[in-house]
Amino acid sequence: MACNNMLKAAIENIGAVAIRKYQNGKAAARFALLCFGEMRRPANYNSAVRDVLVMQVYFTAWQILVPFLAFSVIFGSFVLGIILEKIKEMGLVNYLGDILAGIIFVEIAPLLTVFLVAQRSGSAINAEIAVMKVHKEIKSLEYFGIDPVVYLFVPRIISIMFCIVVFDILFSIIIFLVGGLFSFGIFGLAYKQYADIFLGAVSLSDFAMVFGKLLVFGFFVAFIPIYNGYKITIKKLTDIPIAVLNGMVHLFVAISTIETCSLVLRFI
Amino acid sequence: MLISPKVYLNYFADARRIDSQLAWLRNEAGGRFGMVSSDLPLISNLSLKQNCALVLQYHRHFSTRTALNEADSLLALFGLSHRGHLDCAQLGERDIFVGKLVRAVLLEQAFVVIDRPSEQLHADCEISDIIAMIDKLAQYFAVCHILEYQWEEERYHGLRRIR
Repeated sequence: MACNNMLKAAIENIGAVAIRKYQNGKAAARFALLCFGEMRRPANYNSAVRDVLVMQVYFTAWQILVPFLAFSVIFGSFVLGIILEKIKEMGLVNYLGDILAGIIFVEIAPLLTVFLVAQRSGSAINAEIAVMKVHKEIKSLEYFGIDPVVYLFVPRIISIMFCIVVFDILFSIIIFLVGGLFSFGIFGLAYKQYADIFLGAVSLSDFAMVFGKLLVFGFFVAFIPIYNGYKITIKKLTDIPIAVLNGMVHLFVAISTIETCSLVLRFI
Repeated sequence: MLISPKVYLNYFADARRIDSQLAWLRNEAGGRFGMVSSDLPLISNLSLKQNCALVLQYHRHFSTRTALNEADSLLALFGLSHRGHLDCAQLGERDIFVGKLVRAVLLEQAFVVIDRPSEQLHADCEISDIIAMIDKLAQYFAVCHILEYQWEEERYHGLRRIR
């Protein structure tokens, strides 16, 4: 009898958690649609919104441009050095283009860019929105007829999407250039030969896939922290680190899910 | 001291009555509702001037420069032009109050409501100072309601409406 009760309670708990997760997911999806709808309205882009957009690009991209470029060169050199050495050891020179384009350009570059932006700007946006909510600044905006979705969220989402695309392009260019140097050093390939091999291995669908993936990544890297900061209900400061923590966990789950989906799509 | 005909002083027995009056006024004013309250802070990542300019940029589609100039000219009435670039953490109680007041009057045909001024300005500020501030901005708003506790009524002693 006691065993039955325990089993019943356990099943009820699982059901309650499932219902709660489903309702949270539904609310988040509704909010995402709301943000997406506002992003598409040209009338929303007044000078105040444009100012926020520019400031967010400044914080997300411009402030870390030099460290990002340095990181790209250092990381690219190490990873490419190792990969190219292994290609040479295993006699896979014929697959050089496929490996470089398929792994580095399509998979590693977007993922690294996204993790970098998520760690820096995602956490900052999450904390900023949570602080604004707890300090009643969002209420203040609403009282003055300023829609926080239009004024705070939409420009942040757009600027993060933009920055992720720009960073990925920069990272890919650096990887391409560094790869040329290493190919010359390891295989004795002339730059033109290397460029032909690399570009021959990248198809238009790869470009489309990477671009689409970056836009989806960008949307969620901004949206999930914003949503987690915005949905704080208890008005105390100790909720802010919890909101940031939850936001970052959800964000990494979302990034992993998007990456997995893109891999599945690519190999279907 | 004289008080502008556009300014209404209302006294209430408790916070609950003030809150219900605020809700009623908000409903009456619609999009013109500009509230000055300790419950509605300035935006902390904007400067004083940017806080005031925000409503002009958002609702009246002013360019950033024009809106900032407009905000600056109103802040200058209170000698705050040189402090307009500072953010909330660097401002005093009076500066923040002026910022909130300017933000409220910059709404079109503003219906300004000042919620318990005595609670917003604690140190070294007489009610007459607040009235003087409102008078300086009288040409910019349509109407101004001051909501206050009954027990603060004495502090408003001597105010007369201009006929």
